[in-house]
Amino acid sequence: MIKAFVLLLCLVPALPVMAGDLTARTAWIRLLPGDLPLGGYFELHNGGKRPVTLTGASSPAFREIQMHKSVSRNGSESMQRVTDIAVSPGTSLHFAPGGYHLMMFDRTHSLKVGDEVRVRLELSGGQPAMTVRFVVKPATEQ
Amino acid sequence: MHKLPTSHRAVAGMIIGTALILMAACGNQQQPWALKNITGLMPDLSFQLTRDDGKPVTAADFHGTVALLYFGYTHCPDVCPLTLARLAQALQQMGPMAQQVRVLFVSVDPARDTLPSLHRYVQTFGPEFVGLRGPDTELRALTKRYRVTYGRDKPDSQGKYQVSHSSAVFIFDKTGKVRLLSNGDDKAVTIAADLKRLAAE
Repeated sequence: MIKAFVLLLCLVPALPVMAGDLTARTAWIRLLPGDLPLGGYFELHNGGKRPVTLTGASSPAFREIQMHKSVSRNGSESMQRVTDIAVSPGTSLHFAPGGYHLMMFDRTHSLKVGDEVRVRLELSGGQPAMTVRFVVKPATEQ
Repeated sequence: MHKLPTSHRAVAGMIIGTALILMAACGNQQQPWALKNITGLMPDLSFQLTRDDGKPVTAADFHGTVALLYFGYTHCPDVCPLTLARLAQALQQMGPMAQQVRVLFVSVDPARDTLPSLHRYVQTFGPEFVGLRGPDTELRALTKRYRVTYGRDKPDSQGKYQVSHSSAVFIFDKTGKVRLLSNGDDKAVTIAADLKRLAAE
């Protein structure tokens, strides 16, 4: 019975992850072929009374993860590296296509659509790091 | 039924007649496009590049299809796949008509985008997607032709670098004439509607 429940939990990757006042949800990775760097997306809600700062991310599935922001200027697209992003109390930080994204380099093992990847989000402002499960989705995901 | 006086009937007839003429005139006129109409504002499609299967190709190889021209690179994790995913969704919404469309993904990073990696990359988005690669001289000529830019950052200590590129998708009709421009913000349903019209021409 317990086994079945645990199994059921594993089948519901979209469950929000809560750590203290923070909630992470809709975490996913866009899969591209070979060993191309991948984009990671999620939403982080700060339900507490103090500001929290996201300072980085890491995962056993990637050798390096950087935080980036896509910027469009005069019709030219480029990416800027970001080192910390503040999340004010009562607000949500959106890592979404075309804006903030995790740039995930050098896979440590091959990935396929439907896989789950654990990503550790590093925080400051008295918050411990938070581990979030990201679902691997196809390249054509919107 | 109350009969209108003859003079009133003549006026009514004139109004109806004028309305019919106006409707006919409007019917002849082109319905506006949902995407930006750039007909005549850019040169016809022209290039000499290598297709992801290794075959040298020119714009003439794509005559008879509606061609979408986009500049990007495979090591781009965010904007490029987002744009291609949106185009893939638009093609899906077109149904069998999508077979008359080709998305030409021109690499602005030929050093890292080898033909096999480009091939695997475009196939991920669908059979209508074509990877094109060429030397910098050809890339410079082609980007200049469509008044867009690209630029490569200095590599970091690990040799990783980023490339800036245009968000524009140039759309050409089946004769290679430039017709429409889509930027990164257009919805798939909007793109699909205009591509259907172009494919039906």
